[in-house]
Amino acid sequence: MIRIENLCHRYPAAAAAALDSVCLTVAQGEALGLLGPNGAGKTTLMSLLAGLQPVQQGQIVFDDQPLVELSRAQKQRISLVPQDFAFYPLLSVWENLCFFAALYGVKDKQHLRNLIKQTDLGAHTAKLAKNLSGGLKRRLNFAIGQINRPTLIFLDEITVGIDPESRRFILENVAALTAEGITVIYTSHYLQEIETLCSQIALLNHGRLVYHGALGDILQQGGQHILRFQTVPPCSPAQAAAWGGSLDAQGAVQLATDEAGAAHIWQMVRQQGFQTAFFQFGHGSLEAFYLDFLNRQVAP
Amino acid sequence: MMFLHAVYKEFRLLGRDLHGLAVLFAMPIAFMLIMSVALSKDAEPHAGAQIALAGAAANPVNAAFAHQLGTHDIKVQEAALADTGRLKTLLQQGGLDMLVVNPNAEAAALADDVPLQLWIKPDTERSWLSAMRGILQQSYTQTRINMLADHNESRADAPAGPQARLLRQNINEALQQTFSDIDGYLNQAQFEAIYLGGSGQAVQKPTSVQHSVPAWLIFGMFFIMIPLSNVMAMERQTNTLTRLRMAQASAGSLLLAKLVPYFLINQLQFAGMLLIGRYLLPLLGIDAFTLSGSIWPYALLSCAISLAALGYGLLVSVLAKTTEQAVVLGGGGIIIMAALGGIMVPAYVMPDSMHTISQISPMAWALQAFHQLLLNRHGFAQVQHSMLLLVLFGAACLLLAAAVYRKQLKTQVRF
Repeated sequence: MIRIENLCHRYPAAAAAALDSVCLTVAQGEALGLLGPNGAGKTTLMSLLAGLQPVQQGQIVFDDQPLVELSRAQKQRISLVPQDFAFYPLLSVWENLCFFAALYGVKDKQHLRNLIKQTDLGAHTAKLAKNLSGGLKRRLNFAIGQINRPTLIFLDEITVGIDPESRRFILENVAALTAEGITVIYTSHYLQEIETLCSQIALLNHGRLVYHGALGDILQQGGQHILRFQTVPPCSPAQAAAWGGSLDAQGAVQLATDEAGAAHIWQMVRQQGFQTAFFQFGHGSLEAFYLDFLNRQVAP
Repeated sequence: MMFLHAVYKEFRLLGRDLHGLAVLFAMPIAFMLIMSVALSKDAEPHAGAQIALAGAAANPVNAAFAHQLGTHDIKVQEAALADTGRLKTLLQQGGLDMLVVNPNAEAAALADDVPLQLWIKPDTERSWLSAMRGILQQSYTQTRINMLADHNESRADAPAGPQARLLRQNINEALQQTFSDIDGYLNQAQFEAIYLGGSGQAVQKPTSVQHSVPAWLIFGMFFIMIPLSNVMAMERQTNTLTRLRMAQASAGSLLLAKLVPYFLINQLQFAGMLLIGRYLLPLLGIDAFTLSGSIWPYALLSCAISLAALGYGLLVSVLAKTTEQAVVLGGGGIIIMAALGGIMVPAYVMPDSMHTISQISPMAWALQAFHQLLLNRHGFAQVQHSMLLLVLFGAACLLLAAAVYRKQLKTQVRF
């Protein structure tokens, strides 16, 4: 179990705290989805949990043992799969695995072969990493992250820019990690992935933990539904905000509301002279919850 | 319109590419300054040369020859033949640029003149030696012919009787003989260059290959920095550095692991150049490059140069944030070290101030040590000071690089 107690962190010369009194508990074998807009403090929290930065204030406890007191061997069981392809492009798949295995003192070659099989890299072991496709590079990145048989693994945007098949492979493997009792802390801009993989959600904003709870609670919360529509002509972000929503990457307005709210917005859109290319109103989702939550948050 | 925007965009991009601009402006300026100062010595190469002239006191040629050399701004120390041994030692120690020994006991007939011996160190620059030989030749010939002319004042141009005709005929025949002697004298070698080895004995004349190969070998060894910095920049750019940190790997062991293969590559460069010099150059009609003396001092020197090159390379690699920065910082630094260290411009052509500055370049230490072993045939004892400087430079750079890398493993890791 990981227990975060009153964690505060401030970067030198920064006006605001990167983390402000964060308290959080993650049970062993649990998958926690860490959400928050850019600059919310996700990266800082993960860096502190991984021991990459010293704790300034507060405490991080692993199974009743403070992080700073963990032995080298215990620290080596914490793993990271970063968004970058963090391996040597001029080494082959097998050579990369062997090098990182040696770094962790893992001598069991069968373990490496299992990882290759698990990530379906068997046909590519002799290829230089630089010559792999984006999806295969992601799989190698993921495989390297499991070399040390971690008890805690950080997965940071590990499915960015890959083909559906590789995404499926990786997501299946992540699901298998929690089944094996490995604690997973997962960040992604694909909220649907988090919805699929994580049982717990933590939402950070402006360095504060603004929500922490089970995914099931979120999906059943308050009868909220997601409304998504595209105006013709396209509306401005200010206009979208005036309707209580925000523009997504496709320029569609998105907000969480109930049935009465959706009917009211439909009327307002028409009254203000907009046509709609599409107007969708459906069940609640993590995405709806997230967007609604952020819209309600006010900067400190 | 599009064209103007494209031009504007290029200006903006260029203005933000500080490394590119550094290459375009800072490097040429640095080179212009260094090379201009290095080549700014106006005086003739031989000016100020310090030589000793050892010869028999009874031979009047020596004093006249010394005087003649003095008119060319050469400082001549006259000595007896018995002092030759002491003067050779002085030459070895660098107290003299050249020792001229005149074995002729007296001003004999031109035809009987024995060539003078020019004792020089094998690492003497060839162009300097060539200039000096020209001056010596000119001065000695002038001295000898002047003295010959002084003793041939015979004239018979007054009466026109049979006795006088006979006398004129005899004088003309004597003059013909004199001119013939001068002609023969001018065609014969007046100097014999002898190279003084570290053991005090004459050694073989070094080839042009022996003069040039060490400089470019040292230059090449320092370029080990390029692949080294590529790997380290790649580790930062791909965030592999974070993985290394997460694995709790120590900075010391990671750096040591990097040094071993690059050290071996340096040794391979050294051995490869020697083999190419020995076996390939003769096939191209060029003198073979051969080492003189024992191989061990060269092996130690190669290790010392490698340590200095790796220390420098590693320091640049940890300080540079990108490969481009490493190439500009490191590559530029190597070229400046080479320009200062006598690799590109021989140190003797530099003005005194620049010559002093050149002694701060590790490449100068390496080149001096290599020349001492290869050309002057000195042993380990004579080059240990240069080697020590190289080792200290390398060790200081390595320690600094290790400290920076250790800090980077803590601060430059990221999610």
